[in-house]
Amino acid sequence: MKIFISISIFAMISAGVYGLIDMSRDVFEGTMINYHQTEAELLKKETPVVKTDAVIPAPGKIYFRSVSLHSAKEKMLVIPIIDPDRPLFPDGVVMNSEFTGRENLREDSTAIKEKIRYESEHSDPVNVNPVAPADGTVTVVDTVAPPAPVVHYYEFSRGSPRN
Amino acid sequence: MWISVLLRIIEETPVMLKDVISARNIIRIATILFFWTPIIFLSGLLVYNTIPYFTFSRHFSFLEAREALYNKWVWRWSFYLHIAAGSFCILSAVLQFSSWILRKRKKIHVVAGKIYVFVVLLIGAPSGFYMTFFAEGGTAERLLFMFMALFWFYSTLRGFNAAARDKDFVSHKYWMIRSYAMALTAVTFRVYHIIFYVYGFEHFTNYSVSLWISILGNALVAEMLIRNRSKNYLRTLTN
Repeated sequence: MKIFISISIFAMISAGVYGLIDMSRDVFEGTMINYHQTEAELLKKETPVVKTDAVIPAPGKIYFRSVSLHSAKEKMLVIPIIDPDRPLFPDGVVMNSEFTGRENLREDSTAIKEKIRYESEHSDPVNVNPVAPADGTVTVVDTVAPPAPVVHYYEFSRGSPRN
Repeated sequence: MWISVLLRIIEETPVMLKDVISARNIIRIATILFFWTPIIFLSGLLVYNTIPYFTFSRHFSFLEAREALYNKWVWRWSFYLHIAAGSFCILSAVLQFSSWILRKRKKIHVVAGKIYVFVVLLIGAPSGFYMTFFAEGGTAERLLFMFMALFWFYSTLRGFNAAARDKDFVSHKYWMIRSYAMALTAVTFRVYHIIFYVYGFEHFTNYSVSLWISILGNALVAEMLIRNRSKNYLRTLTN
């Protein structure tokens, strides 16, 4: 019994010491995991900076595949375009739109998810064309697999945005 | 013959009903219905939800969000050992508070208790303690996790020592209540997390609030239970 207790106390102390060393190493190397990055920060960080004058042709939604978020990677962020005249990439990054609520995420993600997955698997990551065509399509930015993110295009329905 | 048996049952029925509806039995039935049934169900659900992780695939949202940590073999194995140990100790602990098992099948209590102690002291608490350094949340949440891991270890050790070394089964019971309260935070945390999610809490706020409530709430409930059962509450902390 004494041996068992000694081993368990030793295991606990070792776990603490090694955890402290490991954490310190991550902190000094700047690789410490930061869970408090918001979804927007993650998106901004991992979305490719693309300069373009492209304008969303009509109100609709842009569907973003999520950036390894805390809760569900396969969940997508759905970003409605409030102003149809607002530039898609005003400063190189799509950050000026507002996120919809979680209900919309759940509601809209399922069908698009399969489509994006298919496109991700069958697309050429080098072929990036940031200009949104004016025939009622929107840009979907795949931000999941840096450093070679892929920009996809998908059809979207014209009409007023659903918020 | 059947008629006489029936008459006898009818004769005894008022007494049986009186026994059944006694205050003590009502509390007992209510405890089983509203406390142990949800706990057993949710514990089972928690264990069931950990099973897919043993495919050792990294394609789970929890692991994908911790990709950098998953690449460390120490963290990776701590994680798998921790969830395996957690499943064992949650399942074995469910048996430990049954007074029927304790009275009629003491051997089950002893074996399940040994499994619980072995798993907590040697696997669950050390692996959890290592992972607290990288836990989600801020510094306060990490410190809270550390407190939980240390207290889980300490209370289990005290409970084990009280029974195996000192043969002080009253103290054993109190320390094991504290230990189980810590083990059960895995369950209560998820319950609070779902409740606050439904109420629209933002993820990180939800996470922090659920964590604090589950750990401190469980500790508080444990202390209240001990206080109600003990004649001298302060002595339960030192004995």
